[in-house]
Amino acid sequence: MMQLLIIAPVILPLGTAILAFIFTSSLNFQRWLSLISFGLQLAVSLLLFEKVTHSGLQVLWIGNWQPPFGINLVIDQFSALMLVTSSLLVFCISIYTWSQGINLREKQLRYYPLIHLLFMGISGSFITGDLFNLYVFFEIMLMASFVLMSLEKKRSRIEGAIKYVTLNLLSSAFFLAALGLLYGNLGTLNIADLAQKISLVESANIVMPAVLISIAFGIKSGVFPLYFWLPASYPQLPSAMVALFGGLLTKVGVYAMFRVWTIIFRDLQTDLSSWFIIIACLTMIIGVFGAIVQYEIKKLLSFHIISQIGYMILGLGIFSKYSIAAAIFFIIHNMIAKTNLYLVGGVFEYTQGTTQLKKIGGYVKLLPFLSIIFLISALGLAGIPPLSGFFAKFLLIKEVFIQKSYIAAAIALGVGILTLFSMLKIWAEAFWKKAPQGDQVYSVKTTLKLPKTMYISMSILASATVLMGIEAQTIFSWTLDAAEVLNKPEIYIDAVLKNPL
Amino acid sequence: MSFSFILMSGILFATGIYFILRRSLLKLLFGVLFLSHAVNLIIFLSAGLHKARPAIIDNEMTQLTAPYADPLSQALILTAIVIGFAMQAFFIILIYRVYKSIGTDDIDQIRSGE
Repeated sequence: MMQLLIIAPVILPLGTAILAFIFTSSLNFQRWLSLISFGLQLAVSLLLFEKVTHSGLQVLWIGNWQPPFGINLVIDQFSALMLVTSSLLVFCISIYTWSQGINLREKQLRYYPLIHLLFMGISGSFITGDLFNLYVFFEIMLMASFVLMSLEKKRSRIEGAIKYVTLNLLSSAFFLAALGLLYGNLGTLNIADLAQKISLVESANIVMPAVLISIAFGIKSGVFPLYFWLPASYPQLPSAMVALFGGLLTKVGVYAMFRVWTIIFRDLQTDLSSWFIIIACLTMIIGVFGAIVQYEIKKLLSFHIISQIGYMILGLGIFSKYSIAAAIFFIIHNMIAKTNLYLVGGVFEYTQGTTQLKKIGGYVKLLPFLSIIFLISALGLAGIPPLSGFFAKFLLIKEVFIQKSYIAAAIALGVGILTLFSMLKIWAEAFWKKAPQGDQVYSVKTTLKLPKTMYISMSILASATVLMGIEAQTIFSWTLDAAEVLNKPEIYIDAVLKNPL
Repeated sequence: MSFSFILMSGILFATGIYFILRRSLLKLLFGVLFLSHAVNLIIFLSAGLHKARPAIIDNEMTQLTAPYADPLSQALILTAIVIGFAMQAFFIILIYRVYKSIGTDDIDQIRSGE
């Protein structure tokens, strides 16, 4: 029975989505259903995390097919951590959208079933132990995100949607081609089995699928030079949704990148690590420079997503146990802080109807509590102690120094300062300066009231950022455990293949 | 035999990418369609093209005997085709909606909405 819990992160959102589709006309029902379902999801993820911590990797062979023929679900520390973080995020977002949603009632009705399907794809990608199954979950996730993206007929939305859909279909094609080549070479697509057999084949045959798969995941995670779709499409979405997309979807790409490069292609990794570092540095620089010139808060944050993907890829490029652990720490910290910043951006959208920094201001007086929440997340993102971002960057950059990549370390530090600069830009424009006067279209309000649900969700995420800083040691020990599995694929292979059923 | 398949898949890939890079919405659609066909051919080829029996164990036997066709790649391609079909159906609708909203086939015209 406990074994079946492993599949719950997929079944739960699927069931919820079906229920939400059936009762699509009742908004209240869907709200409660979503809240309960995401709450359950969080509980299940925590339970799974606890199980993985105490009794090692959890494997489920679906339909009791003998390994390596059936499809299996594997939960290791890394996937458990990602599951917990992502379900915390969707839980908070579902509280956040309680009263505000995505503005329009009728759209909100169609929105709930879709976010559950989206989340099913996300958590499925985290727990699958089979590359083809990963492709299927990716497609579920993509399909839901395509529909969410084109729900509204606005011209800018459609423009963003077409770029997003095209690039993602391209990435799926590359992914699938890589799977075909891998299967042709090795006769299996099970991750553990692939890892075991990969050394039997000449590495020249593996380079092609490895590169194709990296391009595919690179498009999804938005690394340089494959990031163009991201700032073009994300800012067109309503804030609550862009929080979901920006916080989760790109990180699924990063997760998949980590998974394949550490477990499957690790022999190639040593040859290509300098390329990873170069790409990571370029991603960091381009992202942060893109962000500096922006005055639209969602665009600015979208460029920051790219810049921070660079840090994660840097951890993968350095490829030591500690750098991977630090990168996983960074992923978790970034998901939480970035989502919260988008939610704060959503408050501007909700109260003033715009996210243009030039047109808003005076929020430090209007909503003092909001400015505290913003400061925590923004300084956390920039890496000011004692918040989570400081430890994430400190651990990562320290390891980069130890591995003697001094230029990369310098770039990472410089990008950190620029991140702080653009966070302070938001602070100065939206909170500190007086609300712009004159002939602007947006009426300046003197008092604002936010729904309590928005405060609750943002406070949870802000306190998570603080807690991650205070409890950095505990969390780093968890991510070290996760990196241990990624660093020694034998653990993964043994857990999956050695004790069947 | 497999060489012609490889060639075909390569041509489809190249055509697909070329079409995606064009400015026309319709060509974009065809580009995506071609790409998915090219990929399906690669998966089709992955198990090798050779004469073999279906992978069914005979009544007298307890195991599969040597020349049998790999059924898994067929299962993979079937899944890939179905998913690809759904994606393409969605994409066609999206393209149609874009066409209706901007009233032209030229992708560059969309950008004026920014």
